[in-house]
Amino acid sequence: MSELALAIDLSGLANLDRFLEVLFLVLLGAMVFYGLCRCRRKGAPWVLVFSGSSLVGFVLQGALFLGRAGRTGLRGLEEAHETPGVGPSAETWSSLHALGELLAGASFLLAGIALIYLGWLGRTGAPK
Amino acid sequence: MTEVLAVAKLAETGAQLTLLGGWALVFGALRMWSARRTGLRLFLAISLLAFALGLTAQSLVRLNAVELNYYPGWKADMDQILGEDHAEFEYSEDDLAIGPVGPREWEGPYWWGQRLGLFLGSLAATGGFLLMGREALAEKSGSRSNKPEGKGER
Repeated sequence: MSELALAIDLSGLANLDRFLEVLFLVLLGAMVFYGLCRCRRKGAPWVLVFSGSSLVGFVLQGALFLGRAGRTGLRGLEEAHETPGVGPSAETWSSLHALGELLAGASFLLAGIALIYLGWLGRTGAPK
Repeated sequence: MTEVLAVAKLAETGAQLTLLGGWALVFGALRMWSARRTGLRLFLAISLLAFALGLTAQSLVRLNAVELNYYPGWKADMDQILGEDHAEFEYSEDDLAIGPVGPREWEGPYWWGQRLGLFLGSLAATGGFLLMGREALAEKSGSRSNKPEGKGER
């Protein structure tokens, strides 16, 4: 455990990048809040899409943030190789991380598209 | 090898989708502002624009479209490598005349601009979304308090 803690990069630059990632998480949280505030109006599927995809993005980005912190900590250690019965290897974690990034990106895009539709609904005066 | 390429492709596609999402948020905020031109909506649109610009700069580096050699303290690191870590090597006069190749002029502003855009943009956009959420809540409670009066008039 102490070996892991020592391997984590605690330089100013690494902490700045971590801080920016936390700010991105806070932004996603604020998007969820905004979606929930508009959610109770009837017949607003795009509001549901916006808040739902923001929430999914928030959860995925949070998991990726924690995963990245772990991976940075493991950088100094020798990577495990795929061995039956030993548990997931570095390659498996890497694949999961990439899949998480893909899904987080897709949910963020969906939230953006939903916001475009919300703006369009406001413009045309369609039922909200 | 194929696995590694597939993983890299997945991560690359994720970064591209995030970038598109950032710009979709900008267009959504602009559309909301054009529907009802309030100061708060303009503030949200501008802050999301700053965020999207920072995100674009970050994504271009992640997608290897831009190569950055700059980071704060690169010069001190370079001096340490040449002067201390490799002090035992003898350099010819021609080598010393060339000098270390540093980052290009635009790389410093690019590096700082990317982080400044992300910092200010995400902070301001967070504030914008929170204020708009509060506005939506106030509108909702206002329409609820108006409803019984409307019924009474009928």
